Amino acid sequence: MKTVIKTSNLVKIYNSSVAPVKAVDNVNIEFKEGEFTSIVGPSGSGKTTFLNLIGGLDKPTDGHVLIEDVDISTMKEGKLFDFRLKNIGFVFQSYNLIPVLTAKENVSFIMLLQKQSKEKMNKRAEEMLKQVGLSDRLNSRPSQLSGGQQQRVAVARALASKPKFVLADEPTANLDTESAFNLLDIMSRLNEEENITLIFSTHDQRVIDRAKRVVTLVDGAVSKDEAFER
Amino acid sequence: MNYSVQLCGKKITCKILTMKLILTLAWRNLWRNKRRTLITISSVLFAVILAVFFFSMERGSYERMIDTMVRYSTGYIQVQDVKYDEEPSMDYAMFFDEDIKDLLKEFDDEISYHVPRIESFALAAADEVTRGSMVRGIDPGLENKMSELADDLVEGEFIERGDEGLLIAEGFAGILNVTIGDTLILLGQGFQGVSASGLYPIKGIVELSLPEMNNNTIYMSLDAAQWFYAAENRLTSLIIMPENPSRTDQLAEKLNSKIDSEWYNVLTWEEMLTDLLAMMQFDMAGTWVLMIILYIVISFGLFGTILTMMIERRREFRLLFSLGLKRSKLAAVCFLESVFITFTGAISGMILAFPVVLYFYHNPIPLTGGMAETIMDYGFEPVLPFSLAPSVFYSQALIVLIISFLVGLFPVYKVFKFKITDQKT
Amino acid sequence: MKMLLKISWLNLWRNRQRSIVMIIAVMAGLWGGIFAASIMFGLINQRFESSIEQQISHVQIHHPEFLKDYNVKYSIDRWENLKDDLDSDHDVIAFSGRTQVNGMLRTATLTAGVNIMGIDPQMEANTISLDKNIVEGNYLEKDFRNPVLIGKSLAEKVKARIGSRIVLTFQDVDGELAAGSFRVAGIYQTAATAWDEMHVFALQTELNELLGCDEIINEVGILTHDHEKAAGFADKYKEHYPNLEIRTWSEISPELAFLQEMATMMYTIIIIIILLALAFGLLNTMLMAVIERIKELGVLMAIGMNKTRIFIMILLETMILSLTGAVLGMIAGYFTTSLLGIRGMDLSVVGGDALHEYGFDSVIYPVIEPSVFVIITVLVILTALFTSIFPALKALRLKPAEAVQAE
Repeated sequence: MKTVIKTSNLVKIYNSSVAPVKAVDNVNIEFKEGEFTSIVGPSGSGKTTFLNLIGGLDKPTDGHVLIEDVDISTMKEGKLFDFRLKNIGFVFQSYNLIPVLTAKENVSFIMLLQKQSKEKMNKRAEEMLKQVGLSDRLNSRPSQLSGGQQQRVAVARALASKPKFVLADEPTANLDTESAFNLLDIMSRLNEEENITLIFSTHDQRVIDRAKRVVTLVDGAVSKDEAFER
Repeated sequence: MNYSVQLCGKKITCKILTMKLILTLAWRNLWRNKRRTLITISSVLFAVILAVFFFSMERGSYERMIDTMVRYSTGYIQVQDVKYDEEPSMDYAMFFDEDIKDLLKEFDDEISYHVPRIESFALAAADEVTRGSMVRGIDPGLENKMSELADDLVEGEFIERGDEGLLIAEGFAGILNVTIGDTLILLGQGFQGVSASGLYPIKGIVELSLPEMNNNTIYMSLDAAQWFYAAENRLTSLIIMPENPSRTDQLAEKLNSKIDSEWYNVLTWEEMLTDLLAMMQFDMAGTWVLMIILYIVISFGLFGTILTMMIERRREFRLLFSLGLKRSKLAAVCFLESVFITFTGAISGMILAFPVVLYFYHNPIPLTGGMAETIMDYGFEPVLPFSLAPSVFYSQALIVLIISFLVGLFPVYKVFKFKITDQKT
Repeated sequence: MKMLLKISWLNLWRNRQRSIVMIIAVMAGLWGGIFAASIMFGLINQRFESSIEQQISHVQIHHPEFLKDYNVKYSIDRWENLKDDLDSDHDVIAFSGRTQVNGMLRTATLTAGVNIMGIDPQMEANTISLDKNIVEGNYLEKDFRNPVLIGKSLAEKVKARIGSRIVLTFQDVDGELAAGSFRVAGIYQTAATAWDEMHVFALQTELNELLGCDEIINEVGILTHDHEKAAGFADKYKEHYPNLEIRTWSEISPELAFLQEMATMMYTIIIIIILLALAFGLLNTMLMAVIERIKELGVLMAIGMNKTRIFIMILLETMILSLTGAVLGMIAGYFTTSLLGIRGMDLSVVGGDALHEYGFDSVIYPVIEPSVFVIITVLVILTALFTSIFPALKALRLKPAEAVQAE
């Protein structure tokens, strides 16, 4: 299987005025295509920072991030925007959707930015929303959807543009058990059926139980890296 | 997985779709907080309505003044001796000869009619009182067509072509203490310094609205006046009334090109009324200063709203950036939000103001008290007229456009300065 | 109460940028308003002063028939008595007796109707400062025989210059036509072109000679100390001289009194309009401030801050915002006005010469009355009061239990 993400000597230091904080400490790690990984660790362990780094939202202080052999750590901002658009999908803990757009518009938004044709966009949007079980809510605005439904739309959107991998930062934190399971079912299914690479940063045991690989971060460094058969 | 970003078949369609998206986002974003947006729009609306109202009122008065002058006094176009404008004396009275008559014929279809005049000063002597007066030699028929002078007749009869009698202004008649049938001696300076004198009976009395004119004006027939001033076939001015007043400038140019510019000068009403126009400009500039103050105040309010909107949406920006929306596009969205708010306010303001102004245009506000007296002193009806000039409207649109641009620059700046990480989400 | 004041003040600075924007808005608006009002007052003041000091004076006396047709035979008898009375009257700063006749001025080519004033140069200079208004030539010095002063606008109209020969034609005391040849010794200019165009000044002695009479006075112009006391002054003389027409400046020129009233009304309207515009922004700002704090307000109400206090808090916030801006605006306005009031604002560069047509000078000295500041403060407080009602009501209608739950 090919390597999708590879980090080498990845370091991120925040120069706080009090004292420098090493949020990510010399991380060397690889993620392969189709993996379902959970990144866990106590608060302050650097999970979010790490995700930001491999997602191209932040630049490392030292070291490299290679996405399919493309070094994004030195990319200029403009190119990064483009790169994220075409290659990376995001699902956040909350506030995932553009409040003024409908579910369908939120999903097709990405494809619009990628300049896809109208018919393709519409077809794919409807398809993805069907995949997450929301065909009946195409024209609803986020304010009209429940928390779980919103997250599902977020997933649909993240996958609509066929990214190389999807990063999710605590996607289930605000959901009740049923919605959380729902979401996880969808993501597992997509991971298996479509071979989509998923990387979650999470506290949620329910998620951890589903992951096939669990990476534990402590004080910015990898302390454990376990694989599971599920 | 293979990701080939597919360029759409027609690049233009994509551009349009993206544009549509940006516009949609901008417009919908406004309505997220309906009340706030409505209040901001109302403030712009308020300013625009006021501005339209006040400018229309101000212009209205001037338009009426100019209109009155043009229709009853200066006419749209005047042909004069080339030196008359500088030195309005009888010595510079133009020759109303065949050349001029031919010229009038040449442009006959564009000229509605013309009004010949010869006017100068003379001393009018009655039994006991002698007073200086303005003497106007007119073609009664044509003059009446222009200024409806016959309607001002209060006693006696109107003069006719070639008449030897006089029409005297009412106030003047009082000063000289004369009435119908009395004779006046006129003494003056004729063409090229010749002494002018004559005896004329008073045939009619007219009431003129301007007190300055009412107290010192005498009308004679053109022939009689030309004889009096020894200025045969001469006029001090030839007024030309065009068929289509909106084409005055063009007609004047044509006449100017054909006429012998060594001897004659063709003036439009704008050139003749430069003083009045200058006053109007200055007055309006004063109102502009006030309106600018108002608009500045409104802009601050607008700025405050935009500022708040930007602060509120930090999380959303983070989301959009992480999805890959370019800064330039987001900046465009925020800029458009500013433009939309101001424009909605401006356009609704104009739409609301228009019928009001239209109503007052047809039904000017009547004035009372000291104000009315002052206006009547100047010979005008005591009303407050309104103007429908388009510039009143679109000048506001222009200001609003400038404001929305300037205020819109702030969110653009903020968008480009926004740090994706390092923000509170 | 002090606590509330402190809380309100601190609350405003939580959203520093927005508060500053609002304060600047109020400041700019009022500064502009004061500036505009001061220009208006300055203009009107000037018109008023120049009109009285250079043209009509405080009181004018004529023979009652004279004003009807300006016939020179209607003169003021008992002039000597009047003169003595005026001389010894402490309320009189200066006065001038004039021979006045209506006639024609003729140059080689042009003619104009004018009021010819035969004056005693010294008396006239004291009364209407005619000597100070000379822009060219001299003040009726006998360089020429029969010197005459004409207004600048008249000089332009008839194309006369210093030294030009003009003929004045008029009716003498017997009703016969008289004429005299004069030379332009000086050209004057007051603030009003219309007045300059009409008034020609010659030496009284020479004019009387042409009129065929000894000293004949048709008009007396009187300058007193206080324009407000002019009516009382006039009444005093009406008793002694019941046969004479004695008029005050407000009777001679009613527009002057009218202008003052109009100005006050106009500036009040301007300030009100500016405050209305500000009200929109203020309303928005306060509404947002309330909505952003729903949770916090809920907490406050839950722990026992009663509704009255909440209302007062919001009211105070609105007032502090507006009054801070207002005070800053008034200070700025005061300084700008004082500065320009001394230096003067020259408007001729922006077409201000047009003002001469109205009777104003093109250099303006802005002036501001203290009452303006008082009125503004009152209006600002009222605006803040009204604007705060809506957001305050919104806060009051919250149910503490729900509010606390809000995001």
